[in-house]
Amino acid sequence: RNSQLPISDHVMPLDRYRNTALVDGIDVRALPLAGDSPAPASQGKQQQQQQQHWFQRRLVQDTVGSGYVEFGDTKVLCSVHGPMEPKRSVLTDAGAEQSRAQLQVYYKLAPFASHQAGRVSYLPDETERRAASFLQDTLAPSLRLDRLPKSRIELHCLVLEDAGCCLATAVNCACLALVDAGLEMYDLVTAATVCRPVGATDWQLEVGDGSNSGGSSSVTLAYMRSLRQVAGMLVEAAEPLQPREVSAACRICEDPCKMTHSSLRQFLLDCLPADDRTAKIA
Amino acid sequence: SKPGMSQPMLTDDAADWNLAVPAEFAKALLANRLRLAATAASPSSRVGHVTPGCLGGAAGSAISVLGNTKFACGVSASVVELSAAGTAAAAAGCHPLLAAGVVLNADLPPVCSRAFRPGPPSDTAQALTVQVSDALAQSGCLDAAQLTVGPRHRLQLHVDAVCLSADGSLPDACLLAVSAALANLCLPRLVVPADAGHDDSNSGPSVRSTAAADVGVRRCPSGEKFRPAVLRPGSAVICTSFVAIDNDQLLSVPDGREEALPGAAIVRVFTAGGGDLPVCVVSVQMVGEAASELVGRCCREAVERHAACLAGPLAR
Repeated sequence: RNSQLPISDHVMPLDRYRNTALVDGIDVRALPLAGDSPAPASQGKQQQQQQQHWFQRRLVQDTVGSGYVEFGDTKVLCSVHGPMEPKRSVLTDAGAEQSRAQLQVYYKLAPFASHQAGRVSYLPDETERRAASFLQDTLAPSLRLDRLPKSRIELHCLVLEDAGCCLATAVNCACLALVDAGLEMYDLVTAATVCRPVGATDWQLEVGDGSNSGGSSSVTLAYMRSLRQVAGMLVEAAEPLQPREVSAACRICEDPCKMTHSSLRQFLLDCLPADDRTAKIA
Repeated sequence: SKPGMSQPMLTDDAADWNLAVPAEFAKALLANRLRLAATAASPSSRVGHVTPGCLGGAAGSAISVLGNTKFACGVSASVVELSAAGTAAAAAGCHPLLAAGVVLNADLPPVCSRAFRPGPPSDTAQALTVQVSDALAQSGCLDAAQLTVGPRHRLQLHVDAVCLSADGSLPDACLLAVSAALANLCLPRLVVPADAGHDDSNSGPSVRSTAAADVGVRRCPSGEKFRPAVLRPGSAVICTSFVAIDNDQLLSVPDGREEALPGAAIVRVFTAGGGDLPVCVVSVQMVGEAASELVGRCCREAVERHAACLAGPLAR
């Protein structure tokens, strides 16, 4: 169901399997204020507090591996299924298809995840499909897929709360889930997002507190610290960006990616039994 | 046991025996008063654990943990015109919960288990939605009057329960999360301006206005919040699942492995009440055959567990 099916803008996709409201309503958060009073100024923080990641693994019972990450108020849960039988496709080369595993990523926001007015639909939209595609393109190069021929690995990502920096948190969570599943990787992939609010000239690091989630442009960088390679980059902007602007954004993302890499590595080391941990550090 | 695992690991021989003859293995464990389910570890694990108000994107939210089964529930609210909603409900002959203004959906996404695939809701998810909806509608704990806003408008609640980890006793954990999320509901105070008038002769189900200016309801400018008591104070709707083996042994709040035992009957008891309402059994659902004495014992234990939940994770 996450396939790229063309859906006309004029046709509302029907959901026949779930309860739907009898009458369309207006979200209470979207209602205007009484008395024509202006909306209260957003209580943005003058200094962005350095947010820490909170990691947890093995939350899901019936999976090969799972991970849960909180970054500020943003919460993401990932689980890995497989290796399983690959999907047959007449378009791919049979030899290439069988020599390495296929990685398939599904990305979905929970209906109550958005801090903006309105619920997220149960049916995946263009934003979620794009995020799934970014995750797949970013994580596939870091995995040793050649070690699992003739198989398929599924990665499912569920966002419980989106308070900003959602895609980068999903990358970090997906990496944790893949490590928990015992899949070989060249390096840990960590990500960070910077955004530029409307009318501003400088990039700001997105933290998961919902303060700057409405920027006009954003750059998400996925980085492999040990290999010193960029695993993926996603630029979302209303207007075309100059190359120097994009490179400036990437430079800002690099340090948070390294810090997240260190935190994630330390968390994984702490999860090891004491004997294995000593051998690993030695 | 491995770090992060909530169940003890089986030895290789025991795991092979469990794989070959799971019913015999379970009987052997029960003969020695042993259960592998995480819910059997302690009395508190059998009651469960709830974290209310943990999801900022929803007006009311809760995450319930019952053994290895976890549910996240979020409640969001919208404003609808009362005349259009009432006429549409009467015409459609819809579920009483929908008519009361509560749209409930339980989702079992692929992230929670290998058994569920991406796409439309599975039969299990649809059945779970029906079970939970029926239990809430028949419980008598819902107070639809709390959703009224002014003379012509009403709040409509969207209750979305998403499973994070599926390991048996799904209705138990789902209803725990839904009850806690409804009790945790916190909305902005709404006002209806005096000059917001509508021509009733033109209103009807065919007139649907989604423009904010046409609704006529506004948010209080002071940012005041209020908590509608959609669930009557101190009350809850709880489900307690049991697995009956050979009409003799009873396992309460089973995990996925115990629910799948061949020849075992599953009994689900839905209870409601608390606060000013007496705790009573709303409905009993059975898969398989079980003796009436066993069902009576299930009902008694379910009522006891209901009281324990009200005193424990759902205490307000």
